Amino acid sequence: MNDKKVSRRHILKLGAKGIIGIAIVSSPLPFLLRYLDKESAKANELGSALYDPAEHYWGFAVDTRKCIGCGRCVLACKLENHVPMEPEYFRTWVERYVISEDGDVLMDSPNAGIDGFQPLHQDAKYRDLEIRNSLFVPKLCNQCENPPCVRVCPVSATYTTKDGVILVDEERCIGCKYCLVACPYGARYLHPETKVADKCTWCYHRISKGLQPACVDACPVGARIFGDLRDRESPVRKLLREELVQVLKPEQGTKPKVYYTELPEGVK
Amino acid sequence: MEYGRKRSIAVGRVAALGLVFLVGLTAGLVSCAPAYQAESAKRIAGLGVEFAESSRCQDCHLDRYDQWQQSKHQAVSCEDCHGPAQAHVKTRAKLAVDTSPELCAICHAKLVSRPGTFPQIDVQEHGKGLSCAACHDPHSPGIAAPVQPAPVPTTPPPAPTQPAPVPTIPPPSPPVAPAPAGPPPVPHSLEGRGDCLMCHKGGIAGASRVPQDHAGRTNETCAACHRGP
Amino acid sequence: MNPLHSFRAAGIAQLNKLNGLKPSPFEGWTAALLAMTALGVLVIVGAFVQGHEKVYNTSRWMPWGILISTYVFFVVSSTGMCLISSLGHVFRVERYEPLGRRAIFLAIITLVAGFIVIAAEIERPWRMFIWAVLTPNPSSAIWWMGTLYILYLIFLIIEFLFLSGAEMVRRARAFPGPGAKSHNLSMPGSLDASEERLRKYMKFAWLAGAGGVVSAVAAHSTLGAVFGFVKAAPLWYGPYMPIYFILSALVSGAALLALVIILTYKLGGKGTSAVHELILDLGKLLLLFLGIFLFFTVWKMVSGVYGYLPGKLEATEFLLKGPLALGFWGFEIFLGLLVPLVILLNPKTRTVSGVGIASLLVMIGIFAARYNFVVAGQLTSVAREVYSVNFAPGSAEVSIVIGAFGLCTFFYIMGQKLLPLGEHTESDQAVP
Repeated sequence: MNDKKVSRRHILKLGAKGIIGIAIVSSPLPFLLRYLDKESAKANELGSALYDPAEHYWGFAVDTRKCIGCGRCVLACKLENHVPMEPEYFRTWVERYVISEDGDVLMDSPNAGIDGFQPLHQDAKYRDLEIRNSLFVPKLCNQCENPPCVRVCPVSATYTTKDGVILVDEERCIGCKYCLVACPYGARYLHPETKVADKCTWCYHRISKGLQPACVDACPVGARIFGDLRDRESPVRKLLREELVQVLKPEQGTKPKVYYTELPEGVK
Repeated sequence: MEYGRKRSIAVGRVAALGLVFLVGLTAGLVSCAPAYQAESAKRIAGLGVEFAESSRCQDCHLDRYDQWQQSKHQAVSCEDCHGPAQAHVKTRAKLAVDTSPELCAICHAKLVSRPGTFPQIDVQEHGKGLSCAACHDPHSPGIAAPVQPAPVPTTPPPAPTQPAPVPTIPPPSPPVAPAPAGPPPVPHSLEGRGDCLMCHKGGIAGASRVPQDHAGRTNETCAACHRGP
Repeated sequence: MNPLHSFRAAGIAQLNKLNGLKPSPFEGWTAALLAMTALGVLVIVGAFVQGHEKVYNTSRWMPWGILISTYVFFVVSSTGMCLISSLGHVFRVERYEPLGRRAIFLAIITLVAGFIVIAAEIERPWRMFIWAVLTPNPSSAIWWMGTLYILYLIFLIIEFLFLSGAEMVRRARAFPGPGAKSHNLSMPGSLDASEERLRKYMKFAWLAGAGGVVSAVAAHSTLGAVFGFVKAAPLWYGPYMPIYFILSALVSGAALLALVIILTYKLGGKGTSAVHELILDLGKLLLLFLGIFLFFTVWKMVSGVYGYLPGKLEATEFLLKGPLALGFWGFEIFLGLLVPLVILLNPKTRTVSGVGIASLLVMIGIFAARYNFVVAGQLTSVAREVYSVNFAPGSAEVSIVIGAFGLCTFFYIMGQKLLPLGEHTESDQAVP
């Protein structure tokens, strides 16, 4: 009897000690892993290109007075960044706003505007409308200074770089879509192939090589303007000096870095 | 007795365990994120590009590039019409040359939402289904002022303020009054130019104007007298 | 003595016990429940193989669907059951003490079911465990929610183990001797059935219970904050959601506990008058919480339409008169609030059956309410308000939900058979 009593309790005690022991031994593990990672990060740095993010702070401007809604920017972005061609997946898009004489504001964005837009009289929504005004508004990720998407990521997979661009680490993103829900501009989507969150990166792989984002190059009328906010003579700084600009949804408190020359009153 | 000492040993052990666990937990909470983020940024910055810039085209296509740089299409990048060219720079695989009117209509179709100063037109009505390139060289799309009819002008014509566009057909010989020896032959290819009157009625693009005695004649009858190449 | 021998002996004794048990009415259902669970599991595997975007009806404009709302439903039920039963064994209100182990066990299995459902929604769930530890983001409500829920689960498990251990001691004291027939889980007769051990177990159970209550409230209100921190969704944004979720937990905890106890005792065997009293007490609790819940809901809706706040108005109208009006008025308000309130208010209808029906309706109403809430918040988000989206759940998602319910019920029935969930009585029959 006594043996049985001891053996059962003995095993339970052993088990409990084992679990607690493993927990204690493994608790400094993250600390160790971080130390190890610093080594590999250093190795990466030595081999990589000579782009120093700390020397730049990128900004973007959109001159809606010039946009003709051709959609070349959307196509260029999809080709440059290998975004799937289906309508749901896009990193940048163009919206058409139609303001009727009654003051109603209507918006459409067929397939993100990639094939351009049909004349208004061909669309049942606009056919019988008396139109006061109509314009195109291109949109993309605003790379906010106060980004709600970065704040909500549970694994810190989305982050802001030193040069002001918000990126997604596709190796760590768990695909919970909290950032999709949190973005007030609808700039994010879940990539169907990598199964992680994706969004416009201002063509980080181009701007770090001294090129311009693909959409800026593609725009045939110069409606999209990109530049270094630190450089007083950059195109963006020039526009900011010459025009009064506004941002999308300022009430969200996100402090976007895409500046618009003109926005219609009911812009979404 | 023993019990008091055992108790304090037990308490000490539990306290030590708790402390180690807390330290481990705190160390884990201090995030490793910055290292991973820096690595991720480098990885993304290192991705390859699909679109070269138009300035790359200059290296090989200097004549077209210069023509284009001075034209009204100078803000339209080469790759807007020819597609992503970074691969072409390396492999020299032929790039698409799309001369359909649909391509031009993407930008130039008349839409109410487009700014009024932007050149837009009803492409179907204007081009009658022909390739826009028949009259508008995409690398220099402006059309010269229509050639004036035969009568000698009272004032000399103004000197051209911009470089003359590259003509797509040989310039017409100056009109020799009165009637020519016979119907002049067609000096240009007829491909994409089935509608003679489109250019010759108004004398567009340097085409000679239809003379008065041809009034009422239609496209079908031109070829009866004017032999092609 | 070789420890393995005692385990083997215990296992053989256990099997003998099972073989000797009469088949209960639960048997017939087990196959159906296993089928449901298998369906859910297969669909989850299929969804991961094919890709979520092909089988779920979620999209860029509505990233969260019925799987998220079902997760919230399960977790709200789990938290609620922990909180209600904590009235008994943490706050020592004697009339709720019989809820004990059953409620905690149910809380554990509904929580696990909720985790499985949300793992089906996340694209890469296995990455969670690595990166949430290595690169956590303390400003993320989801990170806190995940961490606190794991803490809550640990507390629940510890509490359940100690409560079960205490029950073992109690039964050993009531029916001394090895392999006594009075409890399902027989021990090889060697349990130290001292009063001191019982007190020690109860003390640890109390400690774990207290930790469970604190972590339950923290975790669940953080789940409310997951929605409440999203400024882009006017329907969700604000301090209200964490508070509302805790209240919702109390409602669904009382309802689910009442429902489960009624079903267990009605279908499984005899109920005592104590159980009868417990059910009516739960009914009264449910009535109180439903009243507060109705109060909260009314003010939420009124404040949404008052004052013409641009985003908030559209969001509230989406529920009140928009595409979800049937789901809102029909399921959430009428079935989920008004009918149960009427049943429970009238003393004539506040019987055991009445409480049962009211509880079932409340659970349906809460399930619908969570779905309405998740969908309406996204479709009226400032990011997406212009897109009209087909938000009906896809068949894959519905299958997973069915599977989760099947799994839960199956585990409960197994637990009912194998674990000491109920009270011991004077009878020497196997007690439900």
